[in-house]
Amino acid sequence: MRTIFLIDMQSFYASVEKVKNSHLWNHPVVVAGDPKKRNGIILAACPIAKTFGIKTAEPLWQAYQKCSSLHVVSPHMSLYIDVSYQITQLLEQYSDYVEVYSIDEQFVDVTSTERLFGNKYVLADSIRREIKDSMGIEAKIGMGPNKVLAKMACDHFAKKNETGIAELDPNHLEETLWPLPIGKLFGVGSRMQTHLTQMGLHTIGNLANYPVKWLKKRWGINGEVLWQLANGIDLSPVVPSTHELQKAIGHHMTLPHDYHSIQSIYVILLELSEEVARRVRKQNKIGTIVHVSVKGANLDKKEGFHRQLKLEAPTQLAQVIYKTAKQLFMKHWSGCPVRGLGIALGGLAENVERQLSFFDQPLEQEELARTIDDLKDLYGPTSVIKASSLFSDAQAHQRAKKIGGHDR
Amino acid sequence: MSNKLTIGSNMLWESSRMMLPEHKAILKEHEQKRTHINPKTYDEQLLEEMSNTIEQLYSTKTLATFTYYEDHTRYQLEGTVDDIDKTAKQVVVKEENTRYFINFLDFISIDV
Repeated sequence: MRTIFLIDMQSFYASVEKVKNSHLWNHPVVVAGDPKKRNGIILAACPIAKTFGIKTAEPLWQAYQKCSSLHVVSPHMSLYIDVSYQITQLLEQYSDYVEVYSIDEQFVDVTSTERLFGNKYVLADSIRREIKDSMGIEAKIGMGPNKVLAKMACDHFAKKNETGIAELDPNHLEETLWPLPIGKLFGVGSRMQTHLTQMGLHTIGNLANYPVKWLKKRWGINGEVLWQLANGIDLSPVVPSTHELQKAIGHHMTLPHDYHSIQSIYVILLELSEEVARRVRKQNKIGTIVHVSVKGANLDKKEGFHRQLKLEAPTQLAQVIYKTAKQLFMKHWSGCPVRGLGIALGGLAENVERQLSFFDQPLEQEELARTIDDLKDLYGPTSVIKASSLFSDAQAHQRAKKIGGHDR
Repeated sequence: MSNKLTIGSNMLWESSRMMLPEHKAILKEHEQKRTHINPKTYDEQLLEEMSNTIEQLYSTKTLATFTYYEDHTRYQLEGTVDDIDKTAKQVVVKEENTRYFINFLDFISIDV
């Protein structure tokens, strides 16, 4: 049997900010975006803030109502990525099998190394202590014979107990996991939860003991997956190289205000195409499928869409991506105000050899694009920009300062 | 087509995670650095010594252990020198019944 750990950093962004600004140590702290730019929601709340009932993802004004002495800190995304990466390296001292699942959660397969440290409990304790000592961050550890049990041990048990460590034993799921409500099962979202409760399946145990063939009939593979998860079965390996494979390269942007005019939307589409193309070139890839996604301003009315188009010849050029994206957008846009836009290039392959289109000669253009990339690498992302990025609706200068839509 | 139930697949986790592209880029680079071995630097004397060893092994057909480098990874073969191609600068090493073509400069060590 394997031994898998899921290591979760407690209120990660808020904890990093507290380490950085030690005078905040004993105060309620939240990390939140700028309310004026429409990302004024709580990204992370420290344990003290949580005692006031503040929750992640609620609007800032609501949090202020619960606690008026709240300290609000702006996010520093590249710092969080850095700290997360340092923790990855720290974990690699304990095992070669570390898989980063999100910025604050990492899987470690310690099957073959746990005995070097005594046993898994000693090991978990020592990992927790080392993260605390070197980074100042509290870690919670879930243990299990596979990833899903480790994840649920962490989310539903380790986060709530004193030691910060919890284990789910597959032989005792009846007393531990099964009494939990069905919404707590990994992979069950709010819509699935409604369906399952309508079928009379209120707890994880109910689902685990439901005949799998009926689940398969209704949901196919997904039904069987959920049934397996409820029974604590998950054969997925811990894959350190999981981030190497990439199916598509894309960018999405939430606009500072709703855009109505097609001209200003084109400016954004061009900027996104440029960014996507630059990243495609950086990885020395070429792609054939252009995806465009649009989010409407009215989230309830579902005015947004996602469309894709296959190119005749693979590309790594912004012009080609832009032309296709524009075409897709014109065809499908209903004229609704636009809140967000995204472009991705899929069908990626290594840029080694390819069939050239008879009518285009892209190689010279690509050479030019690579030269501009080099300039940008040397002098910063805004050193060379398209003239259209000087329009007031353009975002290139704003975006250069951001990661994940928040300040660097 | 593999799916979430395929043995050895990590799709369950790959399809559910949220990662910033900047974070992914760092991890990708890290993984390449971690697993890839850099090509060795050459030492004239060592090359000459190795070339002599290969000639000798070719004429005597003695069993030896060949360590070589290919595609950022270290490989090891146990076999005999089957042939030497001086124009292509390649050595053919025969392990059991398979012949491997190895560039002379890719050898790391040869132990008799």
